[in-house]
Amino acid sequence: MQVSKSIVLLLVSAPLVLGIGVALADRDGDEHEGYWSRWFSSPVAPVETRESALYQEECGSCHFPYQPGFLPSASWIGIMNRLDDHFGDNAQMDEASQRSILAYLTANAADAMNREIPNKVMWSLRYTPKPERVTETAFFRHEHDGIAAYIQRHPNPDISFSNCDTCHTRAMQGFYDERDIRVPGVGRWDD
Amino acid sequence: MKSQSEIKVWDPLVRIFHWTLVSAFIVAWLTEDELMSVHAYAGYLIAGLLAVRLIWGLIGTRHARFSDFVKPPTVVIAYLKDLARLKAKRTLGHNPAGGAMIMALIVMLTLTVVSGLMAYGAEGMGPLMEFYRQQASYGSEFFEEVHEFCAHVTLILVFVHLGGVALGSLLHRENLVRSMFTGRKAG
Amino acid sequence: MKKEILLLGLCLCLPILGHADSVTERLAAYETEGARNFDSQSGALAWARKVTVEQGVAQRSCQDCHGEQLTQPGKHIKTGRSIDPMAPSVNPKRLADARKIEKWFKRNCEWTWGRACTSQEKGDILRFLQQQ
Repeated sequence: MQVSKSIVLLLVSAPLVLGIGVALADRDGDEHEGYWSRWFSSPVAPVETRESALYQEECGSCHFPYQPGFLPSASWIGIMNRLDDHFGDNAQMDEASQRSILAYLTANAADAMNREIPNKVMWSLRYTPKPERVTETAFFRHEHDGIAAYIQRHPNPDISFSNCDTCHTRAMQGFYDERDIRVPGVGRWDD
Repeated sequence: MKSQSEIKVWDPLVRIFHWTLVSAFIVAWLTEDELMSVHAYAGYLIAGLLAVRLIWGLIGTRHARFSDFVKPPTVVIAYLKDLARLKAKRTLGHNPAGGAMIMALIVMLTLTVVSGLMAYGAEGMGPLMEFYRQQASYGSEFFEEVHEFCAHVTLILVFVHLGGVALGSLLHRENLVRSMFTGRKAG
Repeated sequence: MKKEILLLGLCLCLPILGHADSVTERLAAYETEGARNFDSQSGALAWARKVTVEQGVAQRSCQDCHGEQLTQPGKHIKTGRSIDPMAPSVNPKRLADARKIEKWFKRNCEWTWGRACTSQEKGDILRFLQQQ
């Protein structure tokens, strides 16, 4: 009797605790600085994947359309205001597209989301608030230090940090799990 | 149901602790670097289980107490020598080698949990993030390596533990795995 | 009622008219800007021309990113991202939208040649691409 009681209690309480955690963590947008979000982040896609066809078209033609959650809104504003010199390229577009893309980027930016990657990005930027590019954040550098060192030893023109999906096979869907990594010329990658 | 010659050895808390720990460890192992949040939940669960078990080791039932199964190294070594000659004596609770294994598992799991929480905290996640707030750095290669190392050592211990259970079961012609479910052993 | 049917018919025709229509529209616009006699030969030469944009930096041309075979995908010279083939014969989306034509001329002339393209150059290039 006592045994079955304890088991039932355990079976009931464990999902309850996890459920509360997920519920606390999943409140996108509001109170993203909430304390519990740092304990229980959402177990679904680690970065917001709401898509924008316009963004895919205008930006994704030349480089991987990074999910907005990889940079804070201040960075996106800076980038979108300097499209005539976009890291050496001209990436100008008509004003309506520019406004619409900027709205999409800032609404889903790292500081507007409570998801694993946005949270980590913001944390990595707590003393450097406005990076110019995704690959500059301490979060990105930490996650890629192994592969960066490898590329330095074995230069490979097929690998570019501008194209997440050359290695992260499900990057377009917002998944960056290790099991989905296939590095050209290497295969699976274990960090 | 209950056979006359069987007596209660493992109390419900010990058994629930054991199998919950097994499940949480498997989940944590499978989700490493994949579902980080689920991995963290499993880690929190293990941390909680360890805390409960440490307290239960002091105030629990007879065979759950550390005083019942933690023996000096000389006793453990003598037991292992006997075991090698297949002449080890049967114990009702944990045998000396089993007791040493439990302490080793508790230590390694604690180190794994703490290093994991530190590595997670360095990425701004989990309860230990506050340790890192004042530093500009992101992530901790050091604690990631320690965490991985401790987890691997723990896994090796788990296999040795399974080997010990198999050996003990064969030697004394009893099913020790079943006892961890039912809590009972032949008297 | 008649008007609606006419409009509907026009809408249904739009996709079929496709790129011929948008190219014609652009060429007409270039003519109003003073360009004349668009020529695919000149377009081909412009497309392959190597231009020094900055001293000490490698010369640039359209082929850097779009490749030499227009029926094959190209590769962005900086990011390495794959670029769909330019030839409308294998990629019907090319030259199908007048706004996109202008957008890409604006973006790419600046980088490749270090200046805006003239209406004459744009017209020649469009004629050349149209035949691919």
